Amino acid sequence: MASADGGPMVDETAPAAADPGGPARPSRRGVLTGAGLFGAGTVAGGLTGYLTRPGSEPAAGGDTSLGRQTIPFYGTHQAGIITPAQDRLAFGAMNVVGGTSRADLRDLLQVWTAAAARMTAGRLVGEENEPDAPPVDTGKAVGSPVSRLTITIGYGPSLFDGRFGLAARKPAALTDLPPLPNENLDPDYTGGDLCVQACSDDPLVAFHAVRNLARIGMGVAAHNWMELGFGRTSTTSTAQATPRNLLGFKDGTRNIKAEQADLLNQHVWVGPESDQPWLRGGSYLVARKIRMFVENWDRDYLEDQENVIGRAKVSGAPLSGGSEFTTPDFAKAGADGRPAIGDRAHVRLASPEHNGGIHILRRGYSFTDGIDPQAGTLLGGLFFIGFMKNPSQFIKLQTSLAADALNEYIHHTGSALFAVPPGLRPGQHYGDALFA
Amino acid sequence: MSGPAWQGNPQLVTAVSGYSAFVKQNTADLITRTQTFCKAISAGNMNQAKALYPQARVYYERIEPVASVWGSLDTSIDGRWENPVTVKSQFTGFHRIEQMLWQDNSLNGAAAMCSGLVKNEQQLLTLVGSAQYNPLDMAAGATDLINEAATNKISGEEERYSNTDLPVFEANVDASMKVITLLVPYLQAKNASTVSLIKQRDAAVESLLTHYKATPGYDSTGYVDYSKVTKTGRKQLSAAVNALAEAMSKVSSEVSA
Repeated sequence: MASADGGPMVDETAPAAADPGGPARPSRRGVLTGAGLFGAGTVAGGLTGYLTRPGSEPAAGGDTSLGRQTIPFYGTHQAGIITPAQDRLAFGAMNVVGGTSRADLRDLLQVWTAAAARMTAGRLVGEENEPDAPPVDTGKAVGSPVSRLTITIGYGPSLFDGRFGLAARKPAALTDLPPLPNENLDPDYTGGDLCVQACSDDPLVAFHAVRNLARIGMGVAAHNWMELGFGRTSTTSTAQATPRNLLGFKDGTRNIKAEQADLLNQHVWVGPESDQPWLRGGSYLVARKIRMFVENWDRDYLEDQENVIGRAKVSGAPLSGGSEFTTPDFAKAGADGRPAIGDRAHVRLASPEHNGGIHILRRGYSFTDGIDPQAGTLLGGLFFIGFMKNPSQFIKLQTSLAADALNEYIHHTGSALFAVPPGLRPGQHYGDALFA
Repeated sequence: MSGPAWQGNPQLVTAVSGYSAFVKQNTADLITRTQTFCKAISAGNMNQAKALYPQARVYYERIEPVASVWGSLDTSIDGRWENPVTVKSQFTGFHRIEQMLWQDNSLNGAAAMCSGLVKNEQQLLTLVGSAQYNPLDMAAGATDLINEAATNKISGEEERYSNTDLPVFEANVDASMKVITLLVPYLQAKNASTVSLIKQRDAAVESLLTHYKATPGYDSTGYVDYSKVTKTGRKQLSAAVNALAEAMSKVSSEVSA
């Protein structure tokens, strides 16, 4: 199963990454990469049809249908942040297991890079299929078009705790979030050394990406939680229509859009202000599992729902008037002389106007974990994902939301923070800058 | 190598005959240990029976991939309440006796149940005596054993009344590593990195297990009561044993091609 020379194999579409190597010592080094992944060795006869994930090849012959579209893996920033939000999410948080060395972690990041590059191009992670071996790729997405798959990875604060000699590389801003209003965090859905965000318009493709990476990571990284998002709740491009969340309201109307380069540089991309050069061009990802008590919400009368949010339910227009994209006028009084958008309305408290001009880029998804077995009510809501230049932006916003009228209907039950490294050039891997 | 091609390789031939002997020996030991267990039950010595239960069980857990080939026999020996029957009268074997000892707290009917268990084990010994194996069976069986540990033991499902999951967990891991040991002379030349990966991951499992060793331990098993292992501890064990299974799953193609 190993490649002919037993050495690490990387994505064939990219020049082979120069491996500066490390001190010779016992480690899983070489084993991870030599264990059959990406091997271009023997291919059993008759199985060549499996090589390129039939039906999943990128657009060819003028086929520009959405399912055939690929999002470039390489670039200044990782894909999956300002990429127009795909419909589906699979998000995995993992911890590095005990006994893992610095070299093991670095190897994992290298193999993950090659796997991510292949999967986002609509290819399998490995091209071998022997009848007597488990398939190198789990095969779950064979026949599923790539559907704009993006894979975005991040590093949690705990990754820099000294186990891997990375303490000096820890960004000052990458500190566990402080206790925040309206949260009761379940440790089963909190934290993580590493995260993998996979987004696609096809749920199976997104799931398959996380599953393949988790499988590759076994022995080095183990899942501590995972969430699937079944519908996007935000818009990251002006070309997209605003979706609705499980409250039935349009969400993300005022989100930063990919087209707003100035706002992105100001609020989303880490710049020279960071103490860690390796993170420049990256971002911070805040994930929050927000349970919505939809039964209670859905039986609230319409006018109250609209007052809680500060927008009209159907049109999405702010209660200060206009249409969906009209800028809310928080000073405007309603017929009764009180502010048209109430003091505790969600859009007011979350607005840049209320928070010293702060924006974040939201990229959340609706989720459900099924039904509460005791109460018979929905375990679901919003899996919030926000990208920002500094986690302090989220802390400020969430602190402002302490008075949010919506808090009666929602509760934060999971939380994690990750530093998202910048994008890669062909030949680079995720760990290059971090371990340089 | 499909078909009988492996029979031309002395290292693989030795490995297969070693495995055959291992299975026979453990089946014979299973019977001896179960008979001792049954004696305690017949004597009405509940505490002694509880201590002897896991000591007999571990032998079955070493040969399970082979024993489970004979499905109905496996169910009679090692079946659970819900699998595949839900009629109490059809629930037999180790786990029914386990239930009597730890949950019913009664030996009523246990002696007859135990002698039935021994009879089934003797039938198993006969079947094992004429069983044929090949290297691929061995490799797949080794992974199956680790999968057993990763699912039925980590969850605490299998030894639900007694909480003696840790010694049988160890038996699963030991027996799968026995397969690797038998195959090492062949594998070392074929793919040394797979061997070292497996050994490394086995060492990781063993090192986690040492946290739970105790003398004489819960029920004299040498381990603590599994119900005392925290959620975090179980998660660590699970990650380690899954990593071992993943590495072990690479062996099948090495011994067959």
